[in-house]
Amino acid sequence: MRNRSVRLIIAAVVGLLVSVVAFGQTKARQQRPATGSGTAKFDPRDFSGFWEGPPPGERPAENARPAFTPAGAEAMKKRMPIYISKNGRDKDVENPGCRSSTCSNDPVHACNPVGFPRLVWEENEPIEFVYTPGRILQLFQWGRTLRELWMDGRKLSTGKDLDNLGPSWFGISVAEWQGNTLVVNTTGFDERAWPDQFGHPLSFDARIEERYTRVDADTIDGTMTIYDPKNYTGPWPYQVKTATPLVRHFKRMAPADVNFFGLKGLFSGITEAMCAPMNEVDDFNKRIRDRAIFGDK
Amino acid sequence: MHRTMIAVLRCGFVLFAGVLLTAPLLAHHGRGASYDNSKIETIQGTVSEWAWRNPHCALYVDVKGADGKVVNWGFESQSIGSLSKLGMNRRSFLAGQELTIKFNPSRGGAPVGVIRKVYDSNGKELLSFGGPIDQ
Repeated sequence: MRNRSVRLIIAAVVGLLVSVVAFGQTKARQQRPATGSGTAKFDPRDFSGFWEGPPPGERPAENARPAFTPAGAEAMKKRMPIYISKNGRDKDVENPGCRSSTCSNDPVHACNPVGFPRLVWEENEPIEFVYTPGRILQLFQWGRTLRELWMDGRKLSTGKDLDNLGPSWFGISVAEWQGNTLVVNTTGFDERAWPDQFGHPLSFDARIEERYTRVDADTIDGTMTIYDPKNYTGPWPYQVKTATPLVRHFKRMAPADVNFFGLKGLFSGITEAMCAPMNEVDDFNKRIRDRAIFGDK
Repeated sequence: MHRTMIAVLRCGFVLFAGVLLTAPLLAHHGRGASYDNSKIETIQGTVSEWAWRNPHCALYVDVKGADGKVVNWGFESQSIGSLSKLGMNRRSFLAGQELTIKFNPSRGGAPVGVIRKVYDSNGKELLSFGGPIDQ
């Protein structure tokens, strides 16, 4: 009886010690510093995990696009971005008087979906890549939404198939590996959505090709080319304001930031960052933003 | 030499942090057109509401003027994600709390602005955004 009690006590102490050590190791793993040097080993075809784009200062560059077609210029006349172009060639196609969310018809100001490519190339909220059979999912914190990259060999929707599917905020995307580069093609855009803050038009029939390469453990480099002959006179290799203007760098988020209430405020993965009209349009804009530009008269 | 290097590194870090904090100020559209970023004004008041919401958190403060009249001011801030990075949460400001706020004023002249710094009644800095200010 006494021996049994001793054995139980020893087992309990050992169990406690093992738990403490295990907890300590888990804690140590969880509290590793943010992204490392990028020199760690990695699988170049494994994008799973949490990533975020560069800061807003590295947003798309304004004057990198090819010239408008007549139809593109006509479409641009209907866009009223908050942003006022400093580019002389655009002054005749932008509304010179619109500088607030009240008069701009940028759909995001009414909390419409940001959509693709804007959500990937203009926002810098976290993105999680999730691998499933036949698909890679992109889960976006902004809008708490997802994008499906079909990897099951299906062809890009065109012609009658695309017409049957109709337009959507994110389009239809198929993807494949070309070497260690993930190549994504998307068609079927909703022409009401803006691909960027400048209000550039993007037609339903346009095709966008993205190419993503994991260049080190902590970085995915992305490029994007817009093919939209309806609106532009040539392919548009999309540029951002960086030292490498054709490349948007996505950085791996540190485990401590995404698994706990860390720097990014995330408790467990992608959290909710919604633009709800009852918050933004009916409350914030009326109480603050619109008054800021127009005053109270 | 060693001290000089540390000083240089410190300055570099401060500048880098300033850049990091400034960048999100540009996020989520349209602020520069609505506010005068070249001006900083200061106001004291009592919190009436701290709206912890995406895409813009907002702080509402009752401010008593020289004539005794109370005006409710609205100050916009960043998204929940951006503020969480700074350690803020939905209880960072409580109704009834006395605050001093430095802000960029609106272009339209209404009692609204963009938060740059917030201090409690003891002068402790509670929130700083958009990089250093000289005033």
